[in-house]
Amino acid sequence: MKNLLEAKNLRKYFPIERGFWRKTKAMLKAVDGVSFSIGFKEALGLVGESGCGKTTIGRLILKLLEPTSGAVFLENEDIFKKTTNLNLAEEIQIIFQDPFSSLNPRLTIEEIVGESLIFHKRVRTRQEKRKAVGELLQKVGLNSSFIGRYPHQFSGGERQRIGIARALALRPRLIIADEPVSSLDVSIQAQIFNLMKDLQEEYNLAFLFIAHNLEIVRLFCKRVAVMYLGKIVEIASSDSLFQEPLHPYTQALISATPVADPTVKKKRIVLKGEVSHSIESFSGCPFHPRCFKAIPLCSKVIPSFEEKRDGHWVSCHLVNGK
Amino acid sequence: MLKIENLSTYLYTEDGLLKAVDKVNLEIRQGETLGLVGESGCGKSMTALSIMRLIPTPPGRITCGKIFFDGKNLLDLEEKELRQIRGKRISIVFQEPATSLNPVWKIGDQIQESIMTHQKKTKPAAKKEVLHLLNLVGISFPEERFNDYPHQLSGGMRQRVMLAMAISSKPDILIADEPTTALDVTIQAQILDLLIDLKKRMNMSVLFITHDFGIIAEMADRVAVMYAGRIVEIAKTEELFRQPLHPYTKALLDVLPKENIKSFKSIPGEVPHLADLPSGCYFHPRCKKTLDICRREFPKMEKSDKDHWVSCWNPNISIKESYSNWRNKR
Repeated sequence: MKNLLEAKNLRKYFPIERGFWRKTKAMLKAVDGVSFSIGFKEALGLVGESGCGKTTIGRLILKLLEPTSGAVFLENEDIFKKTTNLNLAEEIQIIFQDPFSSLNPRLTIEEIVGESLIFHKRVRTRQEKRKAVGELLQKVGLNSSFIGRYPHQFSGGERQRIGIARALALRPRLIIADEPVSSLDVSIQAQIFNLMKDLQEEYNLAFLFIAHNLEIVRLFCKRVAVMYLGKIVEIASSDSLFQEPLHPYTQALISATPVADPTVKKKRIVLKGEVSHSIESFSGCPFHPRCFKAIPLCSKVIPSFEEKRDGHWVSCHLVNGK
Repeated sequence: MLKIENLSTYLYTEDGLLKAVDKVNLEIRQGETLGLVGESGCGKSMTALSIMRLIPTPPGRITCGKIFFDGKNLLDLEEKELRQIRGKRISIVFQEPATSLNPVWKIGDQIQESIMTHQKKTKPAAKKEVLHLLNLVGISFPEERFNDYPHQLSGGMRQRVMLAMAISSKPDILIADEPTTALDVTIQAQILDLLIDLKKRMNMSVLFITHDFGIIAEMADRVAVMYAGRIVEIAKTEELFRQPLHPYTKALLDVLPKENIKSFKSIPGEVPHLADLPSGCYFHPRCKKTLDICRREFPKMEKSDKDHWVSCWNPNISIKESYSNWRNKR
């Protein structure tokens, strides 16, 4: 199957500057050699704890950041190549986590949603813009008469719908959803989630769904990638990831998620310590200081990322091959 | 242990009168963990602050009600008497550990201060106690951490420091106001385990405030569900999950992602703004089972069986039925 988007060995290091001359003391390896692909109309989930590099990947794909090395291909076209005539904004859009800070408080909804339509010359006249924005608002479940209102007149859930309408305006093929529901109440989360699912069907959208809540990712995505300290440690279809998590970190994440059922008494795997900083360089597997299964080999050799089951990739020394 | 009767806390704001906590009745029993769930803005934290009498005034004021603790009504106490209870016999841990610690004080000194305020101890003795507490909450190398400032610690560590401070006076009741919401799942698991452990050791009752039913299922013995300032249902945890009576509770539980179900059921509409509450039952515009009376009158709390209370005109199972179920079971 051909892929819509392919990231190859993507790296992004941020220099840590200290002192008067702002000398580079160390490199923060936010994204450290990450490869993955997203098929057409596919939703790929990207999970991990805060600071593991999820959002940085999203920003790299949107070309908001230049990678240190590596490449991202959108249908065989390198998006970082200087000579590309690819118009990225028309292909990839983003929905942000915080619906309060991601909408300009001084613009009306019409201006927020319609700005890109004007800029990319999708509409010519004001009437056309008005009509297009009205239709978009209806698509995301808002009344098209809200068009002249300002963001502060809406609740969190409604604002997130506006954010989705803005992302949809140019009919992109890929939407990066960066924790789109984590700042909303549970009852509203479900509404937004269902809306995104419907839109995915209707517009044949592909999603990169960034989240820290495994349960939500499980429902939304066919495939899930788990990140730890700038590296993807496991990729699998969500069914096999949840039924048979291979990487110890994934196992711990799944067992640490509280289950809303008092009759289930499961044993939590409680990890020692906390996510170490990606600045500190250590040898071996990035997870070994917290791993409950670590063997001496883990602190010496970085495990390679291999397909250990059908379509189930993992980087861990302890997982036996097929 | 602690009994709240008919507590109302109102906020007098520019938007008008906000009934943040509205005629709440609640009790926390000896040695239990009581979960308090609800969506944001439903009055969970205001209930906690009311118990501690920490409501910012103005705009807030506790307009009526009683909070009994140890035979005394906390709302009648003088500030001086109150200090013997607040922070000493009832402690609180807040959601955001970064903002609840003083950034220019060493964490050891902050815990030490709380010990010296509440217990008559000399400085060296208090310091010894601090090191013991830091050890108890699972902070390694307490001697070195004692001299750290809050910004040098991670979120999980800060929450451990907050817990150390809260349990320093061996409180009877610990109020935990979303203590793990700002933390990652793996760190959340550590803190939850620590809380369970501390509760056992110190023999405390816990009021656990959260919006996460997963945490409730793991931590709480009983649950109270809040909606727009009112408590709509109280039950034992297992009972509540098995047979929620209030449509709101049921809807909240249905919203949770479950295995093998490929889409969420959602609750239509949004939580009403406290300045603009609907008539009758506050939940009726979003409710699937609205009757005529729901639009007119707010339902009273009714007992369905021994420990299950609900405030609804048209509960999922009629109260009579649920009561007879319970009796048959016995």
